[in-house]
Amino acid sequence: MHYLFLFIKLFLIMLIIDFTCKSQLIAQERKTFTISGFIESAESGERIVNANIYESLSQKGAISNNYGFFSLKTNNKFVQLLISHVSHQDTTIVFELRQDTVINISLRGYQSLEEVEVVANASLSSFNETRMSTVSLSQEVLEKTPILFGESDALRVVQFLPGVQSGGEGVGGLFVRGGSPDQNLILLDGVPVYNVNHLFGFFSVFNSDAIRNLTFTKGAFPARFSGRLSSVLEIDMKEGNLKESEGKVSVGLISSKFSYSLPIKKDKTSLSISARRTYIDLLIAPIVAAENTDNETNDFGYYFYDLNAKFQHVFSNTSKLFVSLYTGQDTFYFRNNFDESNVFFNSGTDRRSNSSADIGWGNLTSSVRWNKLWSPNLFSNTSLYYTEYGFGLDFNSSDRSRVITSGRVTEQNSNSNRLFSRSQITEFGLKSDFNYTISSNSDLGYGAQLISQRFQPQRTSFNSNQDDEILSDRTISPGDDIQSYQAVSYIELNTAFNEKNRLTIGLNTSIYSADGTNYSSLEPRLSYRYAISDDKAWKASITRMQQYIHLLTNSGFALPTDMWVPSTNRVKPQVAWQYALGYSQRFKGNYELNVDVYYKDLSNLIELAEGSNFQASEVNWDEQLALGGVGQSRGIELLFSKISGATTGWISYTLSRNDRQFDDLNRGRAFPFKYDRRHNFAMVVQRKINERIDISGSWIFLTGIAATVAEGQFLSVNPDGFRGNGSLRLDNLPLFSGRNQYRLPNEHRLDISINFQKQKKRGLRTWNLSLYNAYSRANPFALLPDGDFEYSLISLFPILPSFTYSFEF
Amino acid sequence: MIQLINFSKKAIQVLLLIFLFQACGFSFEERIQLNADYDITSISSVGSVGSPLNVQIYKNVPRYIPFSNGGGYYDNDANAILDAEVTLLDKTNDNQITLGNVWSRGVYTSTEFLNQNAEEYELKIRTPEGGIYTATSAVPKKVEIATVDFEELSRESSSFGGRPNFPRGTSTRIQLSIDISFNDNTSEKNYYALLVEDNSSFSIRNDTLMRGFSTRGYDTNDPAFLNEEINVFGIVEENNVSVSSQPYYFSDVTFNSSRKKITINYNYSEIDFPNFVDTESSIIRFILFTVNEDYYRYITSIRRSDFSNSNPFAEPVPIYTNMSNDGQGIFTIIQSDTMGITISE
Repeated sequence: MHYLFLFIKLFLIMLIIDFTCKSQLIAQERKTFTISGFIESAESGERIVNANIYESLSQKGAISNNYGFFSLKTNNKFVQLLISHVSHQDTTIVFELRQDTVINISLRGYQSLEEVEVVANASLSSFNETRMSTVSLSQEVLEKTPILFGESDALRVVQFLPGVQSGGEGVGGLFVRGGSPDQNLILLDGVPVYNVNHLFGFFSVFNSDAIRNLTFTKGAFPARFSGRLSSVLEIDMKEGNLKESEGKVSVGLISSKFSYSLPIKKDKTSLSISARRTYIDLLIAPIVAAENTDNETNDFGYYFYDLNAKFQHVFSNTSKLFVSLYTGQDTFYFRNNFDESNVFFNSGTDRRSNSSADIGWGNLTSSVRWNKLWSPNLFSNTSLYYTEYGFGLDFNSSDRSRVITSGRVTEQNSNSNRLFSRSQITEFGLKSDFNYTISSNSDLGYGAQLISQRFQPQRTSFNSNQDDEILSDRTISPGDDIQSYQAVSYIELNTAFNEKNRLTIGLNTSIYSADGTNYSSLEPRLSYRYAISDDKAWKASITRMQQYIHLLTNSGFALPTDMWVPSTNRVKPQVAWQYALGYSQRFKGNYELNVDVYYKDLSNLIELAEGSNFQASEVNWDEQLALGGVGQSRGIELLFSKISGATTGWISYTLSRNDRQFDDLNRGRAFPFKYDRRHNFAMVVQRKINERIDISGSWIFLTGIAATVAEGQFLSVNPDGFRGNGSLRLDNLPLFSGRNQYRLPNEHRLDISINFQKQKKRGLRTWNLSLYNAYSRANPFALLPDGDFEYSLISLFPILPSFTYSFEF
Repeated sequence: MIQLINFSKKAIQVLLLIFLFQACGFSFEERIQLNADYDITSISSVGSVGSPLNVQIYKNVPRYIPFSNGGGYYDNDANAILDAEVTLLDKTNDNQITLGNVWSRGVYTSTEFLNQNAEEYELKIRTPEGGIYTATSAVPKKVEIATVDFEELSRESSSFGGRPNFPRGTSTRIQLSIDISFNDNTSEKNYYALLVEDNSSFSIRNDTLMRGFSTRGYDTNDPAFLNEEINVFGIVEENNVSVSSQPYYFSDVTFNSSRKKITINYNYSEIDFPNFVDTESSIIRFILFTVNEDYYRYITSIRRSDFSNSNPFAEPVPIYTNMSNDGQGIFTIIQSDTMGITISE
C-alpha cells in the first residue's frame, strides 16, 4: 500500500503543478485558445487515426486519436497547422485564432497508382509520445505486407513485430513478451473478441477489407486498458463512406469476399458491410461424391464465414453515432448414410444407418458507440457492447435392421446414440472514456467501465437408446455456470514539462465479484520520455496489470475447445509487473530504430495439472489446476523500420527468455514456458516496382518451441503387480526429463506476394499471386508418439500457391 | 468454348489437389527418435513391515527397453547396477542395515525383517560411479480389518466339461454382498489399497482338486472408490465402479478418522467335480494395504501417465519419484492386513 500512497501523492502534486503553471502563464500572456476537431478523409469522410497536427508558429503538435479527434492549445494570434498522415497528402491551414475553435480537416489520399511520396514523420512507433512498446498500423501499411490467399492478415502482421510470436504452424493466438494467448486484450471497435482464429490459425477472424487501423501495445499500457497482462490489440473497422458508394470484390482459390459502403444520406449517414466465406466444402463436394456408392453416401466439409457491418450517423460536427456488428463462425460437418436391402420376393433383411457430426465455433460482437465533443477541450466516447464466443459439437448415429418375411416385419432392432456438447462465454459492457485538454502541453484522460460476464463450462450430454429403451441419458460438466461482475475506473495525466521531458502517469482501479468472491486491484502506470534531440529519445515505463479471466488450454494444440474461466475463491487473478526501457532514433530517409529492453514478473498463473483433462470431465475445472505459478520474462527487442517510399518494410528481432515455476509441476523446479523462443526474427519488405506492379515478401525465423515428451523409459515398480508379499513386478515407465525440456526444430518460412494492378474504366483491378512457405519448409505442428519412442513430427502446410482477383469500384 | 471449360476444370482440380492434399499433411511427416544423451538411475523398492526388503537398481539409458518374456528376465540386465553400496537406516531405532547384492539383476536384499515399531526409514545408495541417491519413507500405521460380513444374494448352477480329457463338473455362481470394515487412522491423510482374492481357480492332480488363490474383480458404489479418478482400471459408470483384479487405491478423503465400511458385490464361482476329492474350503481373502503419501503419488502419476499417453487432450504426466539427485523410481514401506471368509458349499 505504501507505494500506492506515494503514487497518488505524486499524481496530485503533478496535477497541482501543472494547473498552477498554466494559470500563471495565462495570467502573464495572451489568452490561450483551444483548437480541436477531427481529421477526415476528403474522399470518404472517414476519420483518420494517427495523423500529425503540428502548429508551426508555436511548435506544438498533437496526434489524432482512434476517433480521428485532436486537440491542442496555443496563444498565438495566427495559426499555421500542418497536417500529415502516411497515406494522405500533407495539408496546411492558416487562420487567425480569436476563440476556441472546432475545425474538421479533410486530407486527400494519394491516388491508388501514384508513386507514394516520402512522408515526413511516418512511423510504426509512437516516436513523439511517452508511449513505448506500441505500434500503429494503418490499412495502407497492412496491405504492404504479403497477401496470402487474398488476405493481408492483421494478426500475421502483428506476429512480425518484435516481442510477438505465433504459437507456430497450426497454433493460433499471439504470444507477447512471454505471455499466453489469453493475456491479450483484442478489441474490435472496442469490443473484446475471445477467439481470433479460423482454420488452425491460418486465417484470423479480421477481414482486412473491413479494417481501418490497428494499434498494438505490449508495454507502457495506458491507464484506460485493464484486464489483460500482456498486450492490447485494437482493431478499428472502417467507419463507412459518407460521400459516395464504394466497394471491393475479391475472388480467391478457397475464399471470396466483398465489401460495400454507401452513404444513406450524404455526409450524414452511411452503412458499410463486409463479408467473407471459404468454399473448401463446395470445392471438395464433387470429390467426396465421387466416392459414394449405391448403398453408402458420404458428405463432409469445412467452411468459415465472417460478416462485418457498420452504421454511422453524424448528428453534428461534434456528435457521431456508430453501430457495429461482427459475426463469424467455423463449421465442420460430416454425414454418412448407409442403406442396404437384401429383400427378395418379400423376404430377407434390410439395414439402414446414419451418422453425422457437426462441430462449430464462433464469435458474435456488437456495439453502439457515441462520440461527443462537449467543448473544444473535452471529448468523450461512450460504448455499450455485447460479445460472445461459443463452441458446440453434436454427434449422432442411428442404426436399424429388420427381418422381413412374406412382406411383414418379423424382427426389428434399432439403436441410436447422441453426444452433444456446448461451452460459451458472454460479456456485456458499458464504458465511457473522456479526454480533457488542460493546456498545450497536458491532457487528462479518465473514464469508467462496467462489465458483466457469464461463463458456461463445457457441458456434455450422452444419450443412448436401444429398441425404444433408454440405455443411458447422462450430462456431465466440469463446473456450473458462473456470473462475474467488474467495475473499472481510471485516470491518466499526460504532460510535458518542457520540450525534452514528457511524462504520462495514470492509475487504473477495478473491483471484481464472482462465485461469492471479491477481488480488487490498483494498477499504477508510468511512462516517461526524454528527447535527446529531435530524432533521438529515451523512454521508460512501469506498469502493473491484473487479469480476472483465464483460458484453460491443452498444452498440445490450440483448439476451439479451449475454455474461458473466471477467477474464483480458488483461482486468483493473474498479475504482471512490467518494466521497460527504450531508445528510439530516426535517420535520414525516414528510417527508424527502436530498441526496447523489458522485464516482466508474472504471478498467480495457472496451468492444467499434470494428467488433467477438462474435456468431458466431471471433475470441477478449478480442481484440475496447478495454481499459484510465477513467471519471469525478459528480453531485448529491436525494430528497424521504413514505412514510406517506394521500398518499405521492417526488420525485427527479439532475444528473450521466459520461465515458469509452479510448486505442483516439474517437482517444483522452474521450467521454460512452452513458447519460450530464444530468437525471433522477422523481415518484411515491400517494393513498388512501377505503377502497376508491387511485390512484397516476409521471412521469419523462430527458435523451436519447448515440449514435454517422454524421451525414453526406466524400470520401476508396477503397482498393479504388487501383492504385498515382498516380490515386485517391474515395468517400463515413461521418462520425462522435465517439463518443456525438449525442443522442437526451429521454424522459418518465406512468403511472397505480387500484385498486378490496372486502372479500369469502372475501378481498380488487381491480380494477386502469392506463395505461402515458398521453399516448403516442414515447420513442426505436432510431435505424436509413433511406436517405441519414435515420434512423428507432423507439419501442416507445405508451399501453398494461390491467386486472387479483386476489383475495387 | 467447351475445351476452355474443360481446361478450367482440370486447372481447378490440380490446384485443389495441391492445396487440400498437402494441407492435410499427407506430404509432411518425419519420424524422429528422441534418444537423450544421459543415464538415469532408477530404484524400485516396496518394503512390507515384517518382511525382508528388496531393492532393485538399474542404470537406464533413456530409450525403449524391450522385455523378454522367457524366464522373467529382462533384456536390460546388462544395465543392472551390481556393485552399489545400499544401506537402510531405521531412523526410529537408529539401526542401519546393509543390503547385499545377491542376484545378478541389480537386486539388493536384506533378510532382516523391517521393524514393527519403526516410523521412518532412509534408503541410501552409492553407485560405483560415485552417484549418491537417497529416499525417505514414512511407515504408515497398520490398519487392521475389523469385520467382514457377507450375505448371499443368489446362487446359480451350471454344468460343464464331459469331453474327453476334461471331467464333467458343476459350476455354481454365488453372488455375494460383502461388507469390509476398518477404523481409519486418525492422522490427517491416509491412503489404502484393497485387494480381493479367492481360491476358485483349480488344477487336478491325480484324484485331487488343487485350489490356488487368484486376485478377482468386484463392483462397488462406495463413495471412496467413486472419488478416485486415478484408478483408471476401475471403470466408473453411473455411480458404480467395476474393479478389475489389481489393488484398488483410495484415500480417506470421504471418511477421514471414522469407521469405514466398504460394500462390494462379489461373484464367487464354486467348482464341484463329483469324481475328485476336494479337501479345501471355498475362501475369499481381503488384503487391506496401508500406504504412505509418496507411494500414493507415485501410483497416481502412473495412472495419470497411462491415461494421458492415450489421450491427446490430456496433459503429460511425469512419474513421481522420492529419490534425490534426479534418480527415478520409488522407495516405500507399506503395511498390510488380511482377513478371509469361508463360503458354505
